[in-house]
Amino acid sequence: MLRNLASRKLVTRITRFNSTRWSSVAAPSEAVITSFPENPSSKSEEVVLQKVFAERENDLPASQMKNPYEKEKVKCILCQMDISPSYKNLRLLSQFVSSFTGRPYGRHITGLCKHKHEQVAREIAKARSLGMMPVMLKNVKFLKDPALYDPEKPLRPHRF
Amino acid sequence: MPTYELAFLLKNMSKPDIAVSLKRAGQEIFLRGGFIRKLENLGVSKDTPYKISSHGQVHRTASYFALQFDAPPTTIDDLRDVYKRDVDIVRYKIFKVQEPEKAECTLHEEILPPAYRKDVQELLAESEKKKPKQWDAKTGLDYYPFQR
Repeated sequence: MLRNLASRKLVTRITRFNSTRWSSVAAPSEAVITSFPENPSSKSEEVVLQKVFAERENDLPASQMKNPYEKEKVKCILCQMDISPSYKNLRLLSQFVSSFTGRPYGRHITGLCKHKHEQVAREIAKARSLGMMPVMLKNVKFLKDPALYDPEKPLRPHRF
Repeated sequence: MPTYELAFLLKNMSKPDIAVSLKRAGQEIFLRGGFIRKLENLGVSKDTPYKISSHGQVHRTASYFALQFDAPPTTIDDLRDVYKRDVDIVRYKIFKVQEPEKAECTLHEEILPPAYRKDVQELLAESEKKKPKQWDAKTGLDYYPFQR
């Protein structure tokens, strides 16, 4: 009894709705949907999607990129200038030698990397044995050469 | 044939005499099937940094030259013998001409405090390897049980 009442009320409400507001176009007699019409904006959507994907590839984090915050590596003076010491270049060799004793300074004073320091030491030995470079002193002509380092301020403290 | 460099000192003499000595030195190379690339003049009649004595004479001035040549390696000992006997040559040395070794500058690693330096870390690793194995008494105790 109650159910019938309710259904009757519903039916009357819907029909009234249909007749007044929603049905501007009369429904066709054969209301059977065979195929969905193609969305006219779908093609342009695809194009847009392709563009988005292409752009997105550029936005991905570049794993091959160098670290932009990487600090510049400190280089020793001979590596900076790309100079290889030679036993013939006495002036250069004398720059790494003490003006008091004529002996080569250590790496912690000259600021040379191990590789270059060893080269310098070898060339000094060569020059000395050949009678080109003095042993107990520094050549007087080279005493006023520009200083590449301060012997009083070594990179690490020493006993002297 | 490998390239060698003969760096030598000629005693203090007149220019024509120097030329004769240089020619003599070059001839020895040609006689042994070598050829000369270049002859560098590093200074004529320069004061030597210290007194040099050779062949019973003391020299305070000398002329410096460097002769770059190619020669068979078996002849180098012969050449050394020849130049040793030459009275005009005060001092000589034969080097092999090699391009200087190229290596990256490692100063940025050497500046680091010792705990972070590679060579210090390698040393520590080595010292741990070389620890001799302590003799294990297999007592199962973690202390020395006797009163010594």
